[in-house]
Amino acid sequence: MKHSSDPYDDMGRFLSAEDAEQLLSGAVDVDALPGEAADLVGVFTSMRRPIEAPDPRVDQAMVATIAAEIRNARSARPAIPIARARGRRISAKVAVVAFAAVIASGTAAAAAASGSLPPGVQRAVADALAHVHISVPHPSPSRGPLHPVSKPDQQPPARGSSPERANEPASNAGNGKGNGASKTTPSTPASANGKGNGSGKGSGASKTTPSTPASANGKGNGNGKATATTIAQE
Amino acid sequence: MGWHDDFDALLAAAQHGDEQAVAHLYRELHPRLSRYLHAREPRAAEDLESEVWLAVARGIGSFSGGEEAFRAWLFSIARRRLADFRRTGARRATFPVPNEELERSGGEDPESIVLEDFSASAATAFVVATLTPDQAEIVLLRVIGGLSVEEVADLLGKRPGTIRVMQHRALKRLHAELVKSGVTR
Repeated sequence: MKHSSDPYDDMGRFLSAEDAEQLLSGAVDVDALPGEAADLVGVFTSMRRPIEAPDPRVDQAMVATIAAEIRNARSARPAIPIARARGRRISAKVAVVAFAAVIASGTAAAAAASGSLPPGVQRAVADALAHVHISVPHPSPSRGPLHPVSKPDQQPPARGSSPERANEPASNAGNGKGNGASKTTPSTPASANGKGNGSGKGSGASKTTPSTPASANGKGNGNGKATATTIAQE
Repeated sequence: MGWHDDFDALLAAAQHGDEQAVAHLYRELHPRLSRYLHAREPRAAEDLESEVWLAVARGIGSFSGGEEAFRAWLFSIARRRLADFRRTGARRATFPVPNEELERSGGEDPESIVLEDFSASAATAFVVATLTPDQAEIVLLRVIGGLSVEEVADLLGKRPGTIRVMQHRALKRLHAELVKSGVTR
C-alpha cells in the first residue's frame, strides 16, 4: 500500500470507527489504540480536566440559588397554571355570553326602537319597557298581514292573483311596504295587489290591471313593492 | 447519594428543591458545562453558566428521563443560551481583550498540550483553533459534554451517521496538526 505524505490521508488507515468512538467517549484503552492515535488521547485527557479549582463558597451559593429557584417554580406551578387555566376558561365563557348578549340586546334594542320586531315580540317588549318608562312603539296595526287587523274577506279580492296567493301570509311574501299601502288605500287595485301578491313580485298586477296606475307600474317595472309604495305616497 | 446509584431518586429530590440533590447534580455537571462554555465563549462563560442553571431550575420540574438525557438537556440549554448571547452580542459592544491574552489564546504549542499535560483550556483552545466550527462543536460536546453520537446528532439536528463522519474528519485534522508539529508520544 502506498503511503501518502498527506497526514489527513494517513489517518484513515489506522483509526477505525471504534477507535474514534473510544477516543471521544473517554472509554479509551491507550494500549489498545494504534500508536499514532495516542497523541489525541493526551489532548482529550487535558480537555477533560477542570479549568480551575472550584470555589466551594461560590458553588454553595449557586446551589442554594438553584434550589430556591426550583422551590419557587414548584410552588408557583400547581397553583398558578390551574387557576389561570380555569380563569381563562371561565373568562372565555363569560366573554362569549357577554358578546352574544351585547349583540343580541343591541340588535333587539334597535329593532324594538324602530318597531320592527314581530308584533308579538314588539308588544311584549313595549309592555315590558313601559314599566321602566322607556317608550318603544307598540306593534303597528298597519302590520296587519302579520297579524291582520282587518279580516281578509273585508278586502277586495286581488284581481289576477290566485286565491292561494291572496291568502298567503304577507310575511311569506316579505313586503311590509305593500301592506302599508293596502292599509292606506284599501280600495284601490294597487292595494289589492299589494295584499294579494304580498311579495312585491308584481306579477298579478301586471297581468290583470294594465289600465290602473298601480298595474301600470307593476307592468312597467314588474315590481309590486314599488307600485304599492308609489300608490301609498300618492 | 451517588450520581450513578439512583438517578431517578436524585432527580426526584432535586425536583422538590432538595439542596443536597441539587448539589449532586451541580457538582457532577457544572465542570463539564463550565469547560464547554469557556471553550465557546470564554469572556461570557460565567454569566452563561448562571443563566443555564437558572433555566435548569425553572425547567427541572417537568423534566423526565435518565442521566444521559439530563446531561443532553443541560447542554441543549447551554447551546440555546450561547446562541442567544451571540445573537444579542452582535449588537453589543465588544469586550476589550488584553494583549497578553490575545497572545496566549490559540497560540498553544501542541507539543506542550500533548507531552506536558497542559491545561484543559489550552487543549480546548488547540481543538477550537484547529477544527472547523462544526467539527469543534461536535468534539466539545462529545469530549467535554460527555454526550453520545446520538445525543449530539439530536442536539445539532443532524443524523448520527453525519456526526460520525464529521467527528472522524475532526480527529484526522487534529492528528495531522500534531504530526505537522512533530508531536508524538
